[in-house]
Amino acid sequence: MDLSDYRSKLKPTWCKGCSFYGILSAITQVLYNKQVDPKNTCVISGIGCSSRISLYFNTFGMHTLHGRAIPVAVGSRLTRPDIPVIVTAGDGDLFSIGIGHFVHAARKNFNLTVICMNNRIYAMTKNQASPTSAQGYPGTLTPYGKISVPLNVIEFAISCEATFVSRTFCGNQEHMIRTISSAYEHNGFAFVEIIAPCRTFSKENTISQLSTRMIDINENLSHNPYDKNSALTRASHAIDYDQDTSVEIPIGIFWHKNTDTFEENAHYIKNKKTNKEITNTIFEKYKVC
Amino acid sequence: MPQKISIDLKIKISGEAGEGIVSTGEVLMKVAAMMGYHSVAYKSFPPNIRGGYSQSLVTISENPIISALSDFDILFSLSDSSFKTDSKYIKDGNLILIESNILKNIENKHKIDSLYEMGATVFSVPVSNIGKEIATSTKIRSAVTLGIISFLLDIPLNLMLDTTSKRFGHKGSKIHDLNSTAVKKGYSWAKNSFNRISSYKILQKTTIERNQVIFDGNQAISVGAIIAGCTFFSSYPITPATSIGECMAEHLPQVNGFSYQAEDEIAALGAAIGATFSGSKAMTATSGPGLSLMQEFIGYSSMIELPIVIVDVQRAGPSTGMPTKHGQDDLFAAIFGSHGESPRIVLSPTNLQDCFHITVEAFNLSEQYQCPVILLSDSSLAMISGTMEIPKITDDKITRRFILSEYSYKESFSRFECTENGLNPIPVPGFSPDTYRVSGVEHDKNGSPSVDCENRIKQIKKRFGKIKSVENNNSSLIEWDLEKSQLYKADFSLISWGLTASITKQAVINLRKKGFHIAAIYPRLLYPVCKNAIETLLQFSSLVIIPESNFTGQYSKLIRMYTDANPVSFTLSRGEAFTPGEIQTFCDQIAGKNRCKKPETRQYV
Repeated sequence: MDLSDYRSKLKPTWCKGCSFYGILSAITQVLYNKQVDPKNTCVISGIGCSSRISLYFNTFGMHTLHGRAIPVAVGSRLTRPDIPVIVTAGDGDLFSIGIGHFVHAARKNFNLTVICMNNRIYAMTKNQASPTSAQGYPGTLTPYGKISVPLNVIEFAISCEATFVSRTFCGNQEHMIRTISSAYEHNGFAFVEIIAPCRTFSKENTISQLSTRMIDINENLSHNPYDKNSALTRASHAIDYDQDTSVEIPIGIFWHKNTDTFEENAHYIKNKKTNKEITNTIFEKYKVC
Repeated sequence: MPQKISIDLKIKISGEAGEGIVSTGEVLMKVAAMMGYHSVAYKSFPPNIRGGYSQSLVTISENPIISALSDFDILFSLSDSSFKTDSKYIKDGNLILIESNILKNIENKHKIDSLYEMGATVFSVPVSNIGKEIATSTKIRSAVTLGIISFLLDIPLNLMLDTTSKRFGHKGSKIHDLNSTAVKKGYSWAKNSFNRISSYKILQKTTIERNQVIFDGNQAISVGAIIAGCTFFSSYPITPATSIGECMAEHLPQVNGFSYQAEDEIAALGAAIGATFSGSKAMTATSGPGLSLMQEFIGYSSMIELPIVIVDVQRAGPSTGMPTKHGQDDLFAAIFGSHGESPRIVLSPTNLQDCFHITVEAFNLSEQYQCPVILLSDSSLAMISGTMEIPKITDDKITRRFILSEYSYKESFSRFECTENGLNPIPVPGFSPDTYRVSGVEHDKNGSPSVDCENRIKQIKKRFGKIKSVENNNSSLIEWDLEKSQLYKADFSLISWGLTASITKQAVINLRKKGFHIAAIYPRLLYPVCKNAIETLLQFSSLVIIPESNFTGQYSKLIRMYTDANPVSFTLSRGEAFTPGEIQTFCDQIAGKNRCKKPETRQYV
């Protein structure tokens, strides 16, 4: 299969220079490197600029509702454990309206690759603050400055017992491909936060400015991703990187654990009998005498 | 000389909630079933764990039972407050058994005297005192009651003992022994205290003629779904729908399926949608509050045109409402609920057998028409427990969606093409020769987002146009109730849906005996509205009466929108279902003709 075999005929409608083009390329490259069969794969997204990405792949795809990509993905995993599922959604989608679903799916360790395309705003609706926006961010609904502190999604994902938690950066194609690849290969709930600033609404941090501040914790800081305390410590570092522009931003695999997935433990009784034979025996339980 | 007279007995047991009233009724129902009769137990209780009015009405009959609700023949009243409630409904010819302690209340004593004058037979039964000799818990009264009823109806004592122990067997051998003693003591007290009244004996049938199961409404829906081929079920616990999930959780793994407990109702329907996209027949079940939460996803499933079944076991609303109480409050929510215009099919079973068969139809219709189907049951129907013929559903009666396969695939395949019937093959992951992507955004025939005006008109017309043919292709979904010769003018017509329909059916039988000419339909297809059937019904009479258990008369209003009918709405939003008598009285008043013949005397063996 060629690279182009992974892309649908639909042309992306993102702004010129949008961070998401890089992410689209990276995911396409990952699927190509693995020679995944598009007819056996599914990409499920929510609503937002980033969520449009599911329409641009040639795999099976579901562009669902705002915040609801994960529950739909769970249904797919439980009925077709043979079909790998990638969930792509934005920061508002995953961590505002959809945060409840994130918690439970992570805790249950469904075998999903969940990619958060984090531009730290609601871009489709034209620049409102999101849970990951900096404190003081002047979104259109918070013109005097966002009051609350940002949600630390890496720390949060680790607390939710996600078994693979990582962060990458849209300006580093090679790192993105490597990280997304590892996440896809992980057997369990794999979370990837991709720092992807919006060039239309968030002009304070450009890709080129941010790229000088990224530090790979696996390559350059010999981080041990199997140590949870260490992972949490690293995760708490530099979350509000707008405030202090000198601080380094850690990227890489923070936390990694191998354990049973929900699908593996789901109670399927493997039966040699046909469906028809089994269904007729159901009445036995309810028979009069 | 033994007389051949039809058995048709209704026994009501009532008292305080938490004291085994419902269990008593269910054991009696089971025993009658084992003796070869059709039997059904209707129950009602408050949402508390203890206290408040609880009742079980058991109908035992040689013929298939039409309505689970009706006036009782025998009343077994175990508490002061329940007697107050039930005494209003006592009629001439009733047999009343009252817990002796109730008579300590002077008011009740006066009432008893008036009952004698009315023509009822009254016995004082020391159930509490008998129970106290055996155990301290008031629950022992359930077994004592069963012993007394055994003698009264000439039920073999061993059969009663056996069924009682099976019902409570899981509680341990000590409880088992206490219960056995209580049943025997109740039986022997009754034997020594009154002569068996021959009118109330139910004869042991020599053979069990029918191949029967005992289901409640929710179990019937669950088993119906599995027979229809459902392999994925997801839900969130909610009264009174939780037991559907329990049944699915037990049985789905046996057919290589899976039942999932989600974190909320939105996630439950979301998971079912992910499952149906992946090729499985999927269902979720909830009640009113959950249906409200699911509205967005219902609109989504209608937009992406995938089969899915959503069961709403209605309860009295709005908001938290009365969780264990009967209501038919969600019709509009089921048909129109969700922003924008998202067509779906709405069905409603009228009785226990329907709960099974209409669920199978729900799956068939959703697979055929590639759209969501909402099944409206209600809390009373969910808890009606009774006998039912084991249904035989052959493979040709099960519809499977039109899947995109090597055979149905053409290079120019479009999932959302505006074909004549609006249907197109559906690709399934890992099987079909081509992929596709769905979106809630308005789309062109290929599924790509589009705001083109012409395309929009075509697509929305197609989505609504798809389901127009449901009535004509599924006329069996509308049950007709006409007199033998179908050419007659009726005094009035009746339309009724859900549980109220089976109650109305019994009312119609009773009204016809009084000389009324009636035409009635009981639609199990609520939306699309069965316009043809209603227009035909209007030929019999333009006076159409519609009883329903909601406040605003939703079905009446619905058919005004789609037909020329100008119905008279009879609404009762009280948390309890109608009785046939109430419908009869209303129709009698509305029809305005005094055509009562002398009422038939009831006959028993």
